Amino acid sequence: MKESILKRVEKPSRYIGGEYGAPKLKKGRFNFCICFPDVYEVAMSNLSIRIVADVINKVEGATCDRCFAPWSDLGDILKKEGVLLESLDLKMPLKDFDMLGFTLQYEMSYTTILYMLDLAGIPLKREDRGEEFPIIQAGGPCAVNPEPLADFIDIFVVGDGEESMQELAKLKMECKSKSEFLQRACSVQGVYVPSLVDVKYKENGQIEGFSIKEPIKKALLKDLDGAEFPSVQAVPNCESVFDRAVIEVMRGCYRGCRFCQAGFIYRPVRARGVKTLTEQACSLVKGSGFSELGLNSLSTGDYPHLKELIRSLKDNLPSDVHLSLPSLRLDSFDGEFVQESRKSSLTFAPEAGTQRLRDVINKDITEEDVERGLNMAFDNGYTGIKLYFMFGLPTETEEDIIAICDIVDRIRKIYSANPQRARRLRISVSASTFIPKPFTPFQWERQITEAEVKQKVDLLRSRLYSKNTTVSWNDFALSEMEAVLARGDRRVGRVILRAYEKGCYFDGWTDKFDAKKWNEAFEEVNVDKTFYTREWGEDEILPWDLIDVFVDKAFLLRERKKAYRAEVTGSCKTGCKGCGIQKVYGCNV
Amino acid sequence: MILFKFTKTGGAEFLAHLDILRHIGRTMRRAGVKVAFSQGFNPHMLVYMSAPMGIGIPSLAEYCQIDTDEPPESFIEKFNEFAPNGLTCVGAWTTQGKVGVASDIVKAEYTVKGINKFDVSDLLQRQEFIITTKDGREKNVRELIYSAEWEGDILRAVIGFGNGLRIEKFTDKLLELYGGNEVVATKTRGLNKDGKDFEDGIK
Repeated sequence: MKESILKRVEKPSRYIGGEYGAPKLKKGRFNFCICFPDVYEVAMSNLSIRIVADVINKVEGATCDRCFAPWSDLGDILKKEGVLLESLDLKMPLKDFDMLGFTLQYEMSYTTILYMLDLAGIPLKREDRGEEFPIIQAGGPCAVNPEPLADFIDIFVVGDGEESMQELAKLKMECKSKSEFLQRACSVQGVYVPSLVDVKYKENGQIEGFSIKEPIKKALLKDLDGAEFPSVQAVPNCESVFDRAVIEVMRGCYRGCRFCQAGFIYRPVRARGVKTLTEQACSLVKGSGFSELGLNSLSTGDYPHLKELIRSLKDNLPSDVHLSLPSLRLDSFDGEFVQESRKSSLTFAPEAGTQRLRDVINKDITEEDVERGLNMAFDNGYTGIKLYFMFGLPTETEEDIIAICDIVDRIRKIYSANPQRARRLRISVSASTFIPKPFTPFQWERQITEAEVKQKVDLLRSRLYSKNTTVSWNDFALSEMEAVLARGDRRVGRVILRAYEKGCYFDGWTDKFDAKKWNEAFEEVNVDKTFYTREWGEDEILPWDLIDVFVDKAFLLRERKKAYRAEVTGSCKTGCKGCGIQKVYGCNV
Repeated sequence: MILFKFTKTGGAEFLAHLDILRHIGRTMRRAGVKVAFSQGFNPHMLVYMSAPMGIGIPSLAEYCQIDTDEPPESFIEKFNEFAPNGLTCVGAWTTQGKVGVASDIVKAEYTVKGINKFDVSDLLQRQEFIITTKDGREKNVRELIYSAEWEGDILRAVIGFGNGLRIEKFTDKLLELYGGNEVVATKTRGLNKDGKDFEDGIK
């Protein structure tokens, strides 16, 4: 990027690249650019794109560069002055790459993909791109329902990227044309090429069928411990969302909370060994100088050798390296592991107010678990608690909302039971709207309406106002749009395109999200959003039925029925629940 | 304690002040240089930097002090092996206690390219050099302009530092008075009140 442009934008260090620890790249025979449809600080905190870049760079002849979405100030300048978006390391225009790989981490980033293609001078729709343009690939968790992006993406990779991305890189070097590559890529597990699959719709708008006989199986990495993992981590030029070294302790989750997509699509649970993790951690910390190490997974508290791992890390890392354990669930929270410093606020996610509703969602926590966890936290000096809840879960009643207030009362009582806890306890309650997601037992559920959300918020606020507790809830329109994009079919692509044309991008940033424009987009392309937020029929063909994540639909239906009976299934650790993944992987539980 | 001087070029001029502080801390950790930590609730490395400059101005003379017993020679070597691109240590000295890296560098020398050639005596004889501050006030900063001379097409000037005249404001005003295009300024020296290089003033 030219200096004269950099001088005119906020945080220019987002665009200079050359971070300490970033690989020194040379153009290869196959040039790939991993693209993250969000700003530098978010992208640099993401582990998956580091893994993909690392595995591709390890393929002989292949090079993986990076590009992140320029903030709107730079985007405006590029558009106005006709400067094409370029990669961070080789400073090469994106359109000169062989392939661009977008990571789909959250649905609200979809318009930002179009924004990046647009800035790169690449036609947005795949049918408008000839051989002269790069192949546009996408992967990541949201790729389990690729259909809303089917008009824009040439090739999706569903599932684990370690092996599949290397195979694609090698294959691309053998192929002479885009069409040859796309045809042959279909033999790689996890690959979905939308141009080779047709979808038929019924008159009522539901799907009649797909032109493929077998669904696309996701790519499945069987040996996580032996898998490639980057041995160095680039140090971001400017402070990022997570400024720390990160190891991936486990992939998948034993729990199976019925609303949680990650809990199903990342199955089976695969863990790395203590030795491997310790080596990876030491290498990253030494090479980066980070003073914090993140132990990532969906539920690190469930890692079978957590105590052993923490002991090993403390023994081998510099003594002042702070361990951070995200996504600790309430019941696996163990005071012993809490870091000595930074005792400020602890985040718990009970998700629902009553035990009944927690049973409905298979969030296997009891009041005693909560109490034990909290007492340990308070004894360790925590004086702030953040509680996360969801509104609009299936079977929710007023009683469930009111019970949230009881939880707050009980927490205060637990806190004040020990007079030595002198500082006032801060409690904040955060509520989001339930979003039904593909491949969960709740994938057929409807999403509640704005009026219902308002009623619930009012009820909660009226009960909690007097109790020195902050209450916040997220924008309904944003949750609604996320629901539509998550469960959308190919027709939703038209909405995404129109929304982008109307100026929507960075929709995940609340101050940039413009519900009015989105609603206009639906109307202008004649797509009814309530079609996607309604309750779906169990016998209906779902847009994501063309993908197989190895979790049986029959299992999901069984789980849905159990949810209505408020029956807990529990963690895989208590025995195999027969979700289907056992047919392709020997889960050792 | 060690005082060191480093350059900020080749892209590093776009790093923000606080980010450079973080990068120096991480450089120390990577290099295995032992640095003292502050006491208290959130211990942090004892690193002191000279006053911040506008983002995007390359510099050949940034100063920083670190509480470490590392000898100057090995400090320079380790710093340069482990620092991010564009940050290069060009000198280091052991000091007895803290020196005023933030307070005692009150002048700086810059080279400026891109201003149309003008008669420096016109500039130096002026009674007024009015700039507009961030909050829109007009301010006469003539007394913060100490010297200016031409070296070919490059203007070498010493102006105040950290006390009310930013280099961008200075070059903007020159541009307004004398014209020019694609102005590029580089900080070349950090000076104390006597006009000496900061490190010479404390030795």
